Amino acid sequence: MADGEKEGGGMTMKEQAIVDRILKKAPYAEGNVRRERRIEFKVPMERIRDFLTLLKENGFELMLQITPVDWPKDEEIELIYQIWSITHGVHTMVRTRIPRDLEKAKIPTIKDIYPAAETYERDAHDFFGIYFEGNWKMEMPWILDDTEQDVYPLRKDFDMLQYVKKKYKILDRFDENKDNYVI
Amino acid sequence: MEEIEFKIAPESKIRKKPSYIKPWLGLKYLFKRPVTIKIPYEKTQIAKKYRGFHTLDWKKCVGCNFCGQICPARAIEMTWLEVDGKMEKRPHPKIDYGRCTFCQFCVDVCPTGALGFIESFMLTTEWKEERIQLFDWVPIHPEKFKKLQENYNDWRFPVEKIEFNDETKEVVYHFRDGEIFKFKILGYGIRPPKPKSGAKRVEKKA
Amino acid sequence: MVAQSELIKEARENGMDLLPLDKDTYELFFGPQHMATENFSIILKMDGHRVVKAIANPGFLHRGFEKLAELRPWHTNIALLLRICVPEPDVPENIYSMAVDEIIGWEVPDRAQWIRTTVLEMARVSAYLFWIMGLSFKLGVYTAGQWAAAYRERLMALFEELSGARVYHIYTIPGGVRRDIPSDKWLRQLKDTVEYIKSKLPDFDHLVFENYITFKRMEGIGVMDKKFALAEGVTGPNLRAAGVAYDVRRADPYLLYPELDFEVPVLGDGDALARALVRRYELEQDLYILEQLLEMGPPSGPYKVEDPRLKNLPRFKVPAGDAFAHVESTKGDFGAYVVSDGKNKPYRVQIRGPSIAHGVRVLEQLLVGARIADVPVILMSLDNCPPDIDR
Repeated sequence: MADGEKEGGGMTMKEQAIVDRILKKAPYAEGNVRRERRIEFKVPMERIRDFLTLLKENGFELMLQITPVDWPKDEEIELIYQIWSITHGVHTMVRTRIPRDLEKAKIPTIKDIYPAAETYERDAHDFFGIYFEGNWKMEMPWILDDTEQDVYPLRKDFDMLQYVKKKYKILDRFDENKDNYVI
Repeated sequence: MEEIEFKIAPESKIRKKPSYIKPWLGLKYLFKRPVTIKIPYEKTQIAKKYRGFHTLDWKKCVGCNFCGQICPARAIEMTWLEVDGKMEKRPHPKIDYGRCTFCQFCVDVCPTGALGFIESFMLTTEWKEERIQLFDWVPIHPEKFKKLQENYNDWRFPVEKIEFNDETKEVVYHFRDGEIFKFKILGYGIRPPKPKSGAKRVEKKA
Repeated sequence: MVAQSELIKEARENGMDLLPLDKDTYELFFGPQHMATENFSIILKMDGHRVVKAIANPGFLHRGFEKLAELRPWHTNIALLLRICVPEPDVPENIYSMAVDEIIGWEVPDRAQWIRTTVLEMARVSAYLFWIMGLSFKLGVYTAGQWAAAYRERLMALFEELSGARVYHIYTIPGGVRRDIPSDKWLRQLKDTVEYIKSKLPDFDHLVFENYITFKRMEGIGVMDKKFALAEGVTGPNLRAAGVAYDVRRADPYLLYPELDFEVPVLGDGDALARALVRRYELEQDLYILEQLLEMGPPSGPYKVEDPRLKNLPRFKVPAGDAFAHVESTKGDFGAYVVSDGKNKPYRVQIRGPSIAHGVRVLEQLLVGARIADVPVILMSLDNCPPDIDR
């Protein structure tokens, strides 16, 4: 949504400088510039705490959201930490991947670096089943009721229509022809 | 983009001073006429293209089911009808107002322009089986709907009663001005119902 | 006179324990039926009339939007997702459309950008009037609240002319807007409404913002400082009242905001009174922005993108990619993150409402030590909107 004078690569010079400065201090990460005011980094799962501490010292103050995205083909869940920096004026996405299996989906918590992350981690746990070690509010119920605690609804292998039909028993009123329906 | 300056307002414009006298100035509206509109007794004017009930032109509808695919609440069902002994060549949409969100995406997407909408919006019934039948209907022609709306000039549903006979699957519309309209439902879905001897009951209406 | 130990024994036998923390404390369920909390509940542990500990308990409005949005075609999601924020329904429509526009990569025409900006500003004004109504009801000044509700009616009549419905407009779609401006008369009516509301702002000042009772009830209550606000992810007028100058319309400009001129209020106190005064100033600035937009006038041209793929809306495919878009709403920083994998339905949609940061952790820490009469005032000064938390 950019307007005004645009000199090709000139508009993203500030973002490129920020990416280079961060990557010099953290050689295990990769980073690139998407467009102006949007940059992203990719970090392996073990170094996520060091990377976020580094970001916090370099002026990235606000943690906006932690988004899990489920990729069943790669057998992984991708976690995206979305952070906005007020001093630099850029939005950054920090991506990691963790294994998808319920036993193995664990990652250390970051609530001592960014305290707002406690609520976002409770959200990710309730809907996806990711366990954040060190966050003692994991066992507190967040949004789902007690009957739905182990269901983890937002995963891709959860069939919502079948669950609703079993639970509420009123969904299909007609014997519909299911060929062309997209819902 | 870097030329935008961030203007911060001076604090003197934001801060206010407390006072004991000023709240009494609220009394100046005490003897003026209230702005409420007493709705059942006075009428408001609703906008020209208010999103209300649907109208259907039976000749133009080709039964493509675009409206059924795009409906967010899955309120549209294609129905095969028989009027005066002759089966219609294409299925027509039947709309359930218990599910409809009145977004009119179905009207935007219709390729022939057969489905339309009109400003009437009021439909309330008691929880009795024959009254709830009103919520499931195949819309009527826009000219007829407009005529009924202009006659009565309150924004109510044009049909007084719908009777649905379970064995013969016949539907009767009793309009508000006394007219009667009958048709039969042969089946649901996009594929035509198989013509067997004796009407084939495909499913039941819940 | 029955001794207290016998009363406690009888309560335990009948299962009527109140789980006290200490000898004199009790537990109070400030529940969802209360008018002050709007479908949200807080479990308070009280000592006398002061709060010792608070636990936020959201979840009454969970409707499962993120999963439902994966089952519907791209354009249809607008009719579903806008029900996330009830006082300002235009904001979720706009962020979803902006994110999808960025993934596709087409250019939204100028007339549509003007219309989208005007609609967003009108939604902001009507949401601030709704907030004044809520604040007045909680302070006890019911008169000013009824005035605010009456002035909001005029804006809803304007929306009805423009989009076809009063509250849930379903108007902004990826690629532009659904209908054009009805006539020039609508623009004149909008100008009259803006002038009318501007002339009534001193009335609100006399009753609510310059009232001695407001100052006595809201000064020094619910204080948060700059470091706390940044660490907890607070955005919007709450952050500006704590001393940080962050406004999405200036920091990450979108639509027509680079060409508009307005001021951003920042105060340093961080208490409930500062938050109320910041919102009052922003209401004035929003009316000024609407005047500037009306002077500019809508540019001519198409109001949505002309694309042959749009003839077949149920099978409209979006190329693979992802995007993030955010908008300044009256509650804070409202963001959406959309992922697409090339099919005709989204792969993942996540909406981030601002109340997920204010309404849970910040509320629990600000309520410690408050009196029971201050609990609704703190809630309203944070402008908590529970549907954002539950989605």
